[in-house]
Amino acid sequence: MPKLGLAVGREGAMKRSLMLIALALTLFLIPPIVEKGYYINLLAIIFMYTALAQSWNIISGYSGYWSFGHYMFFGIGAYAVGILVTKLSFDAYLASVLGGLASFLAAVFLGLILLRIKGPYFAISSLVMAEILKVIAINEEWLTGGGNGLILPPRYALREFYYAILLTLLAVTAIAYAIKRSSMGYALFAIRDDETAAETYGINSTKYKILAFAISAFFAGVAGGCFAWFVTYIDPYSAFDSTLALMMIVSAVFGGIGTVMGPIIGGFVFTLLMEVLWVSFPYVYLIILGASLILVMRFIPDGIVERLVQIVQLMGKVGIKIPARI
Amino acid sequence: MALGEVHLRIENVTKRFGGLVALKDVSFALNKGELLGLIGPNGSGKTTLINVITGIYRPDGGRVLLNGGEITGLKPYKICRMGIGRTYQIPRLFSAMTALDNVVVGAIFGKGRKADLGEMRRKAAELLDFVDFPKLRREELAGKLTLMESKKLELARALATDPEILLADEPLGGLNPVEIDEAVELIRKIRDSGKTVLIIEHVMRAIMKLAERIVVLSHGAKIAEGEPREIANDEKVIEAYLGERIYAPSQ
Repeated sequence: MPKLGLAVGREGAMKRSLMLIALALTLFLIPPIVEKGYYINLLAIIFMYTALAQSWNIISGYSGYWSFGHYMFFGIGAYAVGILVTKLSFDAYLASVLGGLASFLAAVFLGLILLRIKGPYFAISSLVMAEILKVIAINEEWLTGGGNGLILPPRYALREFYYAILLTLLAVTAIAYAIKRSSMGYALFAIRDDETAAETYGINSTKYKILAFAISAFFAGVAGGCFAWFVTYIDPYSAFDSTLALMMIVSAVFGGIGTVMGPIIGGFVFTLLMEVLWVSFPYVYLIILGASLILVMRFIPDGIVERLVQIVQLMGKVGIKIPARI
Repeated sequence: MALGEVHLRIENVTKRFGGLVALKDVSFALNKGELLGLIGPNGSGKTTLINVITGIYRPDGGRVLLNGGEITGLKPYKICRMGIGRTYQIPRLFSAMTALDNVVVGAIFGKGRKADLGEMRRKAAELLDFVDFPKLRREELAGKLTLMESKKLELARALATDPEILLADEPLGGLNPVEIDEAVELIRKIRDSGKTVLIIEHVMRAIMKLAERIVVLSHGAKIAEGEPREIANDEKVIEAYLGERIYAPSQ
């Protein structure tokens, strides 16, 4: 199991590694100035999947409640933006934030019901809930346009989407880091290890689970909202797309769940791998992808980050010092 | 509150699991500052009683009173924050956290919680010293500790919540004789620091020496209550549990 990285003496190292992350992500401000088209599009999609993986990490990685239906919050955000922009003429940026808020509130409400259910049953219930929302989106034509979807006016283009989604990624990473270092982080990790024991030592588990679920949903909602105005068209199948849940979970697990770095590394590597494989082997790319995932699960089940930490520690033992603790 | 006053009162507590009556009309009082032993055969309802007191189970009948106020059926985290700490028979540590972080959790969320994380960490480190937890093992993951270390960590984590009452569920279980002596001293030390202690135990020699008063449960009902010497000579207790007369030292 990955170490928490909360304990005394690690703050300095954690702060340094966070600054490195922030610096690396800030460098991504430059590309759209010198380049447009395919690579910017690819980077933006990587940011989106990474932000989604990080948001999933806040509830599922930290508290151990694996939300298989997390794409529902992407969908709620997307539809909130779709409805606000087409029916109420809201500005797309503002609508994206409101889309996040809509997801936040939905998560508070749904969390009160779903988060009572533990383990695999929670995972399945969240998945079912997402599918229910998809059916609602299909049927409530007066609001959602039903199967025809909603067409949004093209207001902002690729460059705006790129920056908006990069900002979302930065924000969700900062929040994930802040939560991990706070008392809320202790509460969530205690719940992950033993919820009953956590309650016995003074933790109001319901409160922390719902808060984590809602914060997580907020960022998934913002990402969904940005996606909606970027592609200018949403329908129930693209907004409530279960592949998104797969992407979030796989990226986070690939990198290392419960770590702040994990979903970032996982999101970048995995999305890139998928793209490269799709371009090079269009017919068999899913087979290769699946096989590589099985290999990762088999040989590094706790994720790449934990393995990197071990390598760094090993290097430290033989005299090579790299101070960062992720 | 003066010494000798009732700190925790168990009043006619009954708990059923389907057709099984785990606790049958159990009543007794835990006095302020005392070290009370709770003994009984396996399955007699000792741990169930602790789970009722700490809010993990809601009793089917009866009440639990802390300092005269009813706490029956409150949520476990609230009961913890009112000053009742517990340890588990089989340690239930946060296995993916370090030993120190386990204690920090108790400090951050218990009765004596403060917003200052740094201060809570220092408090946790002090408590680890208090229970004589090896300094070099503080940063070890709790899942990798030895049984003795786990038992000490359980105690430190419970103490970190600043309890007035400590419910210790078999703190000596599974330990070797040398470790038992050390743990007995530790429990005395905890009582002497001003806590009221209820201890469940199977190690008779230890509990007879340690406890000032003993309550005996059998098949969910209280069959005896009194000083260790009385208990050791009680015919009902001998028949239900002890099997033979044992020597209880005079105080």
